[in-house]
Formats: sequence, C-alpha cells, structure tokens
Amino acid sequence: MCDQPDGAELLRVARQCLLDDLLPALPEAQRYAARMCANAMAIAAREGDAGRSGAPSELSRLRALYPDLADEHSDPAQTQERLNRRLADDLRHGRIEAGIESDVFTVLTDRTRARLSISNPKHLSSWDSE
Amino acid sequence: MELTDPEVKQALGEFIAEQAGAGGARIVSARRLSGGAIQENYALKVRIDGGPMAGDQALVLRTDAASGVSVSLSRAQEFAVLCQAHQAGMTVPEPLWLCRTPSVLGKDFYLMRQVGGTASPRALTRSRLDAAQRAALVEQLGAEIAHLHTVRPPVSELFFLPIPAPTPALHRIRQYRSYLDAIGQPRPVLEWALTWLERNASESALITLCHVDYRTGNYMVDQGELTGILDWEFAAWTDPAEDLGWFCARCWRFGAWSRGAGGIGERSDFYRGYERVSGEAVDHDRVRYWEIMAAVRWAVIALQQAQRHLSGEERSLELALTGRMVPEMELDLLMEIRRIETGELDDV
Repeated sequence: MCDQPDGAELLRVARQCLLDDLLPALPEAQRYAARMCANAMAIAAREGDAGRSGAPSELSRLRALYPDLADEHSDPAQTQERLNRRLADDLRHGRIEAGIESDVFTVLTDRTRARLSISNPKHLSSWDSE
Repeated sequence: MELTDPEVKQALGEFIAEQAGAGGARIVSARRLSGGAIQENYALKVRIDGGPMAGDQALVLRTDAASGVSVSLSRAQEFAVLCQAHQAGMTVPEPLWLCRTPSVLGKDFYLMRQVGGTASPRALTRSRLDAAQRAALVEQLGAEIAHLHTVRPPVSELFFLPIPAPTPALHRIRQYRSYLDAIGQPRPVLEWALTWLERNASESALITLCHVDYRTGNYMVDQGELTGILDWEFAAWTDPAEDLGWFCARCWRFGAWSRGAGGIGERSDFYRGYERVSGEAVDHDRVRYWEIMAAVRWAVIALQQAQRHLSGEERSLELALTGRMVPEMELDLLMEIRRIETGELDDV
C-alpha cells in the first residue's frame, strides 16, 4: 500500500506541469524532447494503474493455452517468460493451430490490446473506429 | 576533421573547383543538418569561380558520422545507387561528385544539389493540401518509384548489391527471424505473422532496384511539389512490391490512418501513377502482402532500437519510446491479416 497520491498520480500531475507550465517557455528546438518526456510519463502512469486493476493478466491467458505447463508455484514473471517463449517457438514452427478463428488468435489479440491500452490507447481506438 | 576547420574548407574548395572545372571554389558556409545518427549531412553554400557551374551553389555534403557503424550501404555505394536513380529519371537531389581521397575530409563523402522543402512527416500529413494536390502528389510518388523499378539486374555499377535468395520474401523472413533470435525476447505475434508470410509467400520473384525505405519522411516536398527522394542507404535488389507495401503500410501513415498512400493521399492515385510509368497493373494482393512484411520489419527495427537503449550502448528517450511502439505494429498485423483472410479489405 502506497501513500496517496500514488506514483501514477504523481506522474500525471508532473506531466500536466510539464505540458502547461514548462513547454510553452521552451525554445522550439527543445519542445520535441519535452513532448517525448510527457509521452513517457503518460505510459508509466497508465502502467501503474494497470498493475492495480483486476483485468485478466497476460499470464492467465497463457496458462489457459498451456494448462499442462502452468506451474502454479513458480515465480509468475518466470512462468510468463517461459510460456511466451514456448508460444513463440510453437508459432514459428507451425506446431499450434493459429488461424484467425483459433484460441491462439484471441490470446494474441487480447494481450496486444492490453499492451496498447498502456503504450498507446489512441492507436487502439484507430482500429475500433473502423 | 570538422567542416568548420579552415584547412578542411580549403581542401574541400579545391576538390570542388577541380571537379567543377572551375578556377576556384570557396565554402561560404557549412551547416549540419538534423537527422541521421549514422550519416552526417551538411548544407553548403559554395561560391564557384568560372566553369559551367560558376556562381553561388547550394549543395549537400553527405558522409559517415564519427561513430557510424552501419549495416547499410557505404557512402560510395549509396552514390552509385543515387546515380542510377537519377539516370532512371527519378526526382532526386542531383548527385555531383564522390570523393574517396582521404586527404580532403578524412573519410568518403559525396556532394549533391540541395533541394528545398520539408520531409517532416508531421508537417506533410497535417498540411493543408487540398484533395487535388494530395492526389497529384501521391500519383507522382507512384510514378517516381516505378521509374526506379525499371532498373533490373545485372548493373555493373551496382556489383555490390546481392540478389536475394531463394526469393526476396523468404530472404526477408529468414533475416527477421535471425534478428528476433539475436534480440532474445519472445514475440509471439511477430512469429505468428512471419509464419503467415512464409505460408503465403509468392514463388515468382520479379527483382528490380528498390529504395527499401520509400515512405513519408524520406522525400522532400515544397508547397505541394515533390522536390527530391532521399535516404538511399537501404537500396537493394528485391521485389518491387516491397517498396509499394512499405509506402502504404499503416505504420507509415503517422496517424492519418484513412489515407492509404503514406498518410498523404488515396491508394488508387498512388497506384495510377505507378501504372502510368510501369505499363502494368499493380498487383494489389502482392502489395498487401508486403505491407504485412513492412509491419514486421518496423517492429523488428523498433525492438533493435529499444535494445540499444536497454544494453546501455546508447541511452536515449527516443529509442526507449520506440521500443514501446511494437504493440502498434503487432495489432496492425493481427487486424490486417484477419482482413486479408476474411476478404474484408477496403480501399484504405
């Protein structure tokens, strides 16, 4: 448990300060870097929020795909890495059914959408609006 | 050696005078242009006395950056490609002279004429061009690349360019898998797309000279008019549809997603320009195939750039953020391949 405001909230307010108060005072040549800083802070803030939400994790999706390989007791980060590696390898060698109607396609789409909702929600909505 | 050094300016002036058949040449100013971590570009103002180029000339000098370690073409090779493109009738900065004598700059460089305008993707995709200007611009961009694609192997001046084997597509797939292995991070979506590309690869292989980085951001436009196609360092013998797919790929529309030709205009106008010069119908499916390849390629490059930051080789906010762009290309791959498979393609 963190004190309030938490890290994500601190990033959001710092970003607002950067955009509203600092950016207008910067020479044109430095504005691109400042916008990149603001973008990095927005991603980090959303990542902080996602860590606390109850959305189904990438790991649970991978476990559903490989129930026999999912060891409940091992370190979650290591398990995720191991299952990702297995999935990548199976996909390269065509060892897993991965057509657009398959469970694999759903898992790949869900995890990519989850990652995009953190790194660039605008890109996500570009597909949703079509 | 720096271009501000009076001795370097003197040597460069003498080189230009000799090449231009002039009595003398003086470097009035030299300004480093932005962009390019691997190459350095300088805008030069040169005063030439006598000869056919007498008068003030605006030139660009292109050379390797001090830290330049590159897998792409050398400056001498790039100059040879640029000369071919110019001869093929493309709108490029006119290549003038290559210098391989170390006594001038200490490294290879070449000079070309400066072209005006902007290459900024943000400026171009958000510019207030009207529909007719957009159509004319992308039609010309289609015609331009078709001129390049008239150059077919063998060309003795381009002896250094390998012929991709067994086919351009399978060569790329092999290349991107080996890059992914070197990065060492599992990317299931990219593997999924590469397997799709492998299964759908065409067996026939038309091979032409290609730019291989033909996209918005790599050409200059001045008030709606194309002034020059830049950045020739990735040129290669490959499938001409690779250039068309790279140009149209969703990842190079800079947020102007509804404009299928480089975020600038309509795909149909781009194709029409191409067909006018090539005399053959553009194979739409083949371009779509290479758009999938384009998204994989850009994702792999983005992962490599993130790796440069993560390894400490070059810590940079821009490289770090590029790494977080990978899911954009991954979602594009999933959605575009699904559209191809279900036949739900529209004109965009």
